[in-house]
Amino acid sequence: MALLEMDNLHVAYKMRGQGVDGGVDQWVDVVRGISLSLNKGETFGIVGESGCGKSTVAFAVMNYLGAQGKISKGHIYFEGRDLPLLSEVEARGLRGKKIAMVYQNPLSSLNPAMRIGRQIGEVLEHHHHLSPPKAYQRSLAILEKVHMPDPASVMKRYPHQLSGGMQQRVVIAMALISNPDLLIMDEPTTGLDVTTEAAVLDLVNELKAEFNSAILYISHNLGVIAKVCDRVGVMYAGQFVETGQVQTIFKSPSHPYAQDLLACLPRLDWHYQRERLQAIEGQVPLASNLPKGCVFAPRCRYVQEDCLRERPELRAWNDRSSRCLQLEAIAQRRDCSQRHGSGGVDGFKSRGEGGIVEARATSQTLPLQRPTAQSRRWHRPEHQKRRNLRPRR
Amino acid sequence: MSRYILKRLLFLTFTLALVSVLIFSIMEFLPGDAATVILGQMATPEDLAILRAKLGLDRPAPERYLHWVAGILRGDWGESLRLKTEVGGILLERLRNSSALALFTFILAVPSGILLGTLAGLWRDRLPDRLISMGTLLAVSLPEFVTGTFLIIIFASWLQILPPSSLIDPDANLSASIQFLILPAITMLFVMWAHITRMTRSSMIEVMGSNYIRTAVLKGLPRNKVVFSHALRNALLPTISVIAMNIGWLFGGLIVVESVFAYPGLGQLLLFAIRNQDVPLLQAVTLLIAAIYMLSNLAADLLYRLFNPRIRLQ
Amino acid sequence: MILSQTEAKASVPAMSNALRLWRGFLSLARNPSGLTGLIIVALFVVMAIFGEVLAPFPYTEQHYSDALMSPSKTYLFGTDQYGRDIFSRVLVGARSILLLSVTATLLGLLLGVTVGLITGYFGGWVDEILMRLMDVIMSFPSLLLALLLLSVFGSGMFKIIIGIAVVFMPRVARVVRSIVLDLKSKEFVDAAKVRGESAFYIMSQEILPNASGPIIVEGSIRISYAILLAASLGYLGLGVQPPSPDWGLQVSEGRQFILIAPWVVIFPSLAIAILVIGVNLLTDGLKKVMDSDTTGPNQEMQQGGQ
Repeated sequence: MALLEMDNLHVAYKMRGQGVDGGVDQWVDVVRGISLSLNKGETFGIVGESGCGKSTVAFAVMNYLGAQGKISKGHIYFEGRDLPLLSEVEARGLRGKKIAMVYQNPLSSLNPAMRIGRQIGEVLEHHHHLSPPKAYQRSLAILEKVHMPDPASVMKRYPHQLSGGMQQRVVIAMALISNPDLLIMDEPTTGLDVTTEAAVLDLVNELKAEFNSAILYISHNLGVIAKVCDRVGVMYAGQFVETGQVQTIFKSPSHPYAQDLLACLPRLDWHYQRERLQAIEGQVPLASNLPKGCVFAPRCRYVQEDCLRERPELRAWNDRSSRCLQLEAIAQRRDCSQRHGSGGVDGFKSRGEGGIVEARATSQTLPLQRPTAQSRRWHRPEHQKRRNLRPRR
Repeated sequence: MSRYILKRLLFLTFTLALVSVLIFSIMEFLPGDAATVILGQMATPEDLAILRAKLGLDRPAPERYLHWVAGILRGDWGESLRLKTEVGGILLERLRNSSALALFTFILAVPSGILLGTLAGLWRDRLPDRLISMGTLLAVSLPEFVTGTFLIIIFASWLQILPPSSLIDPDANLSASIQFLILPAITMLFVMWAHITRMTRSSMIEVMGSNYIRTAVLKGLPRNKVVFSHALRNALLPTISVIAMNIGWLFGGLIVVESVFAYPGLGQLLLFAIRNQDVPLLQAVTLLIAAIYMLSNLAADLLYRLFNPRIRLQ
Repeated sequence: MILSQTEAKASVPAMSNALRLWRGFLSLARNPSGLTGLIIVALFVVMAIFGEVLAPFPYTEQHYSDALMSPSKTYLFGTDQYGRDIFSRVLVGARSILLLSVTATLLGLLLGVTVGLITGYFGGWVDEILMRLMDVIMSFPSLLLALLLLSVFGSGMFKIIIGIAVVFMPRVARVVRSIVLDLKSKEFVDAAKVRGESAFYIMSQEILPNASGPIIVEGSIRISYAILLAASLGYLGLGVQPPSPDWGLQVSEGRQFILIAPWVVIFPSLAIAILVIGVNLLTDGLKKVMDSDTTGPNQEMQQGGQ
């Protein structure tokens, strides 16, 4: 039995209605049928744009969806137990002990008013009932393991006194300290500069070998995934559009979205523009307003008329699973274009074919613009969050 | 930190100097001067002139201002026109009374306010929160004289368990009994509660939604540990400021509350001075209250820095 | 997903001001506290406008034989020590306090916004000097300063308005200044500067419209303070001068009779309390409307819905 198994997982969020007059709240599925299995020592990557539901999958595993979120269908099994069915106490016993998480934006994930030593140590004190001095020793050791410079002094510091890379090492150390069976890493290198990112990725690989944990690694960057993962699922609008071995997909992506993700990788300035994948026009559709046919159709360069009518299922194809109706045709055209040396998919003349123009028109392409009178009005100054500080009279 | 305190104190002194100028200038607009107040409407111009010369009122305003400030620096607050005594002595006695009331209110309000705010924040939008929020809304909406009067109606005239201080000799010595403090303190408590509770609630909600609380929960810590060792220490930061600023507000709010209960404190003294055009007394009380107000704002700032490691250690 | 919705907002074609106002009003009315606040405030506005017409008795008419009568069919809220009908006096009293608090708040906002815009926009020594002055004014508790001004310059409707406005000025200025400091660094202000617009144009056309939300909320909060302040001044005998009915004064005059005729005190007290509660509810509603306008329809998503 696999360590972690997701079976047709659906996660819904409560959203306010979209009408002009507000409307009523409704549950909308943002994750729509994710299945995967993960064994000890294995690393699975989930890759996709912001807003496609990656992090939601992670928090579903932690059973931490808040009052606004719920698992609407499907199961998550951890060591054979259905996680969402666990009681709060049982869930607490797993969190931080058997399942640990590394977060995006380490600074905000660390308590600003607590010294690093306490924040790491309390995991041991709570889960393993270690005495504070013992917990201190172990914490110091784990900081050394993640190559923290001068760990003893770091233990005494507050999060804001560390650099971004050091903060992420702290978060990783905190996750590793009770030697978890499953480690979830949610964009651990987003927000770090390129050299720090490289160092953290090296660290992850090193720790993989040593700790033998299963890792669920989430990133928007296929390049990063390729460095650390064994298998990958390319996620779009709440579903996997392509899954398989990292090397297979990295070398020859079959789904147009996976191709686009890969196409925006080698650019020198990709890091600067990481939030916007330049090569893919448009945006992930709103979960509450999905296109009728293939959800990627409005942005797809190979879109055909049947794509707009029919929702494709994941199907096995060439050592992987892929969710596209035109797989064969695309592969053929790709081969052909590569043979003609035009250097990739861009040379393809599929734009402008029947149905495409119409499809693009329905996509939500919204360029950034100079604030209009309308948009400015929504602007909310930073100070407002602090305005409560003022005395009432 | 100590350099910062020094800077702030210097700054406070400067502002206080400006405040004293403002107070002095406002007084200049009072119709009639000390001489007319002392001698009354029937006094002859000659008598007035003699008294003015004696009191130094015939000298130019800047000189009189400097004389006044120099006196205060020496600890001489001048002499009350009506009470015919040194202002300093009365001021001290009334300050003591007002401080007793403020302190009493403070001790009652702070822990309960924090507790209520924390509860409301944790049970956001559920029944306890709705009840507490309704209570705080009511508390900030009632002027002190309304709360005070209703308390007198309920506790003094209907239940007859507490004295409506107003019916007691206003110059009674207070150190003897705490029962005189209860109703005025409860009156002020309402407003303080409202401020502290609202602040604690909103910062609790903000903190509980933060990423580091998520981290704490996902470490598998039990809820009480998440709340008490992770959330509260951050949520209380803005509350500390509000509490300290409330000290200053207390002394402003005292004016009405003391009037409602005829409580012999600074507020009553101020009203007495206003009604009797007792300029030296009025100047002194105003300056004192302003100084307390400013000091408590400074304290708010310093405490915030003291408890916030992000600022403290930089 | 959050990004896309913010942008979706931006792409909505600019609505007319009237429509936007109407929609704001609708969402305010859909909000429970906003609606309650609206109803209460509307009730008091009606009282302020038609109070004298609605009042069963002229508010100064004294019925000596009926002094301190308990509430009855004739005298709904009872009578005071002069036999005046308290119901009529409460009705008519709405006008002065509403007029006073709204005008004082508007004046305070005007002064405060002006100072805030100037100090925030220009900075430097202008900022230093003006804000030091504001600090001096803020060194006094609100009520103390208002009392001091009124006791020296004499009371009266106009002077109370000025007094409260002066008290509000620095507090509003601080709020506005911090908004301006925040907005000043935005691209559209830079763009206006590059276009060569005058400082006045930038302040009034670029910055002010964007600060309008928080300023409206601040104004709403200030109105409730103004009512409390005006009522307290009235209670201390420095409010609107008799025989005009003043709720605060009614309470303080009625206090000597609380043992035998509590209604003299209770009804004007209730009037103040309900009015302030109404304004505060309205403020809460306004805040919620502004918040939901800025954060978009699914702020809950931010928690885990990347």
